[in-house]
Amino acid sequence: MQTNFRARWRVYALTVLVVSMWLVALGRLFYVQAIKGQEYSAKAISQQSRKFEIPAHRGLVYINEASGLYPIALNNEVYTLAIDPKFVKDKQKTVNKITEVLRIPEKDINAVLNSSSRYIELSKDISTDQATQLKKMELPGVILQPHASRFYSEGPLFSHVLGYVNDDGKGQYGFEQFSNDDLAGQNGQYNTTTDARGVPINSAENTLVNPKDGKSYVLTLDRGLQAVAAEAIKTAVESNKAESGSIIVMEPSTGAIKAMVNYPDYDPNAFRSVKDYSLFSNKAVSSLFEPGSGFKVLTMAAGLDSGKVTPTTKYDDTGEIVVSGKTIKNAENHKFGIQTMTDVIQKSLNTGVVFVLQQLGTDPKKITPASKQVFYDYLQKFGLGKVTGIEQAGEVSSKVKLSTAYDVDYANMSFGQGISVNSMQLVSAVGVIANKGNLVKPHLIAGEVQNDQVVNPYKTQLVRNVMSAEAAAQTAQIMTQVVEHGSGYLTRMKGYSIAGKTGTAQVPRADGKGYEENKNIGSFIGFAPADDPKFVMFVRVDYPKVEGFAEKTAVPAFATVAKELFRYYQVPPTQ
Amino acid sequence: MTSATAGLRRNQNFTRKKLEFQTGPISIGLMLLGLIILLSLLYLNQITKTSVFNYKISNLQAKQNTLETSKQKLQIEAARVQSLASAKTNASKDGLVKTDAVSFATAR
Repeated sequence: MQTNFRARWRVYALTVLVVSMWLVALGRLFYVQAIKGQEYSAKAISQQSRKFEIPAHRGLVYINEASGLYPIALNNEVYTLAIDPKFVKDKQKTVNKITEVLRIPEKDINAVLNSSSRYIELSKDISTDQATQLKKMELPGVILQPHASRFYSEGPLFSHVLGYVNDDGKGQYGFEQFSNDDLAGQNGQYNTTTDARGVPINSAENTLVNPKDGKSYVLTLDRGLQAVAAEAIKTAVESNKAESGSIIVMEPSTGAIKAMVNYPDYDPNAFRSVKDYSLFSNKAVSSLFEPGSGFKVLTMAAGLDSGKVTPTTKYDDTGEIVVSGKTIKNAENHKFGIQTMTDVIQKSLNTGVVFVLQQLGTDPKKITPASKQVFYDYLQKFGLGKVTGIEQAGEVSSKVKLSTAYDVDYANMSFGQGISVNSMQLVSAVGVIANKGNLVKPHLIAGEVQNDQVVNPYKTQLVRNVMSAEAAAQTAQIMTQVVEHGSGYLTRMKGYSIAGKTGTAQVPRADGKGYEENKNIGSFIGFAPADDPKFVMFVRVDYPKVEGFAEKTAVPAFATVAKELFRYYQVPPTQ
Repeated sequence: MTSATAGLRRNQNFTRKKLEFQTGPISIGLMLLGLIILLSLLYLNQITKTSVFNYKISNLQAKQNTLETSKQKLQIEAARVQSLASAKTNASKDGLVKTDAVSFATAR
């Protein structure tokens, strides 16, 4: 009996043990599968799969030439040279080998080798040939990583228009930043299962999303004209000991920009070495200034188009005019007596354009709310008070006072003070006079490039009609007198009729209290031939330190480029 | 009655024994094994082919990358050669001078 009982007890105990073990196993299985299932599954997938980003090729930027498309921004594969000092066995040998291939000072390499960091970048623009040489040397601790970079074939020539691409592959400044999304394209992705070493293996679950390369563009710029303009502005800035300068050339009928330069410039291939970041911005669109007398042509255009004055309308120039108790004088206190509207522009009379402003309203003897409103409306129609929309990053909007501003503010605005514009906006507005009264959108993109062919060519965008063709022609005719008999005489060319206006503008103080004593901006805005303009050009020279007005600082540069433009457009002399 | 049917009737005891394949568990097992081996060989063959093609594709991709890099290099070199700086250097080497006077012919 006792033996049977023991035997049965053992069986029970064994059964309980086995069942318990099964229950524990099932419980664990339930825990792993049901409770922690998703977490473990995710971990497994992350260990067994990898995502590889496939970079898209950035679109190129071209200009169109007689011989075909010429690339001014290309892609280039370069290498980043980095060092992990922990793995460097022979420091002197490493220094010697690197300096055999690269021009990096020994002390810089030694500083990296003696650092306690594990990854220090020595250079970010190692060429493929240099990288190949370094790879062959098999230097322990020396790391070479390829990455895409940009090559600008003309160096500084298009620096401000193009901008550059930074180390993260993002466009900075200029066209590179403005069109970054289109140029960059979209990176692709390869999701793949990997083996234990992380090497991709074939699997039906692998997915591939192909990269979408960026768009390539051709710009309206002309390389030859750009070079002539760059040389002219450099000469103007240096000979006048000025701080900086800009030139813009635009086709008035299409709005196509043929040249846009600033000086000083920089080499976008070596953007890392630029210490003064203000050099990066395209001042032709990003820097506001008070245009001064160059603005008078817009006031006169408004007067002529409204029918309130004609080129022969006369007024008595007493040398000064009082507005709201404040006296406004002509430059250098000149007074000329009875003068026509043509004289007003030719002699650049402040009192004359205030007279025009007065005529725009209900009482021709004073500035009225109506005259301010009419003038304001014209400025809006000329495109002032907003950006032009040119394909450039960082364009700033001009500042135009509302018609509710003081009368004296509007009197100042009539001759270009107390109003701020950027160079591009002034070119666009004066382009209206050169384009039979029509405002077109200025643009840099001439079309897209696919397979070395230009597709989707840009179509001229007419913004609005601003003034009558007759009034525009009258304004142009008046402007020719500035060149023939006025301050633009240095750009006079035998056989060519050039319309223009000089401007020597004061520079407002940073604290807003008046103007700087010894600072001015010399400028010349003009177009030619006056009766059928092929180009509008603006030259601006900031803070010249030599004596003289814009006729000495800006006009010579205009003349140099204009001479080249007549050849470019094959304009024969007519007179 | 034809002679053939008459013949059959005369030999009434004539029987035709059908041939039958009998398959036991061993033969089924062997057949399955054979089938598995055959399928395995086919599978291995396909895998090998895929690997070979993958290798070829990798090679072609590497070649494509090399060609693209070469193309980039050539584009850069071509642009460099055509740059204004290069043109200026060559112009002075070749003794070229700038034209100042341009004459226009009048069409009659």
